Amino acid sequence: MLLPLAAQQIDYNSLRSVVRLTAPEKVSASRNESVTVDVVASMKPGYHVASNVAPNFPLKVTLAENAAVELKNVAFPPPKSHQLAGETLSVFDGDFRLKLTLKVSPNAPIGRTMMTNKVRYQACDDRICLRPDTIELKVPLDIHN
Amino acid sequence: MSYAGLSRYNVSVQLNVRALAAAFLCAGFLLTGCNSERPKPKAALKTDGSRKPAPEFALKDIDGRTVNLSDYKGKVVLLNFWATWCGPCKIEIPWLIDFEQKYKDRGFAVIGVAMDDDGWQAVKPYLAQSKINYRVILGDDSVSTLYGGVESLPTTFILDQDGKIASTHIGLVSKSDYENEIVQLLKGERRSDAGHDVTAARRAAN
Repeated sequence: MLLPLAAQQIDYNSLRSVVRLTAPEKVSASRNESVTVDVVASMKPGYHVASNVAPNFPLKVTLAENAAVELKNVAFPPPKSHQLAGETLSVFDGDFRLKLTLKVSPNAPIGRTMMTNKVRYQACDDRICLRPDTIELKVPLDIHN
Repeated sequence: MSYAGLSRYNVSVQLNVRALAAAFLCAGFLLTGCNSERPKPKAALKTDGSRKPAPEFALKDIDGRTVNLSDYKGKVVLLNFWATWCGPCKIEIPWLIDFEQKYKDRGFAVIGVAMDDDGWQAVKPYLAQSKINYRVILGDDSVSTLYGGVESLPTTFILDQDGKIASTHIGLVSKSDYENEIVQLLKGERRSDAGHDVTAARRAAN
């Protein structure tokens, strides 16, 4: 059995960011309150991600299990159409905003909890597609009375 | 609710320098169009001494038959990692169909490694629809790891008759880039590490 090719052999060692997420440094809310968290996604020029209504790997946001808070809704912007290889793709590109609505539990402990949002995306430009990946976006939530 | 400030979360996604360089080449290709005056791209075959053996694999084709890479020893092989959801991969597929048809009788074969998570359920209908005439096998993370971690698609390896990797292309390149390399390998042109055409030198010596 041959050994796997070293990553360096195909130059995977140069890291580039194609998606950048900007979120509030922290959020405050009282028990039983709904809060909205704006997340701004910025795509590297030329790249797009499959939109939330795309048939393959739709953009998806979930919240890691946390008894203090629940993700109630994610509002996406209207998707754009992108033509490639004779197909019309539903995508987001440039800068776009995701509005996350969260509900703090009435019994949530007072103090800080960490919300771990998971954003699953699949990005391409017109000559390359990256395999689907998930970003973990941690936002501290300060819960008060 | 209050925001105390903003912080940035960078997401690192693996790309490579070669992919970016190829992107510029590709952009140049698109800008200049397909006219015959366009200079032919230089073939990027590795020298004989720098070619590494392509890792062996045993993967199933659409009929459930096991395909071993070693079955192709003695042939020039274009090993193409792709997926049905990958737009740039679909641009290449008609080229690969053409290469298979044109060069299969000269010791050449295309092998498509489909990286769809949904497996044959996603791939089978696409094969029928796109009339692919070359062997397609279902890839997995193991084969991806063997080939250095295929982080992006398409990723294509062109193997020489000894089963060694003569070139690697990450992302869409031009049809002529592939074809130049295939033809060079089929002609048996070999390059020494000093950049000399070894085949020509051998011919001259005889």
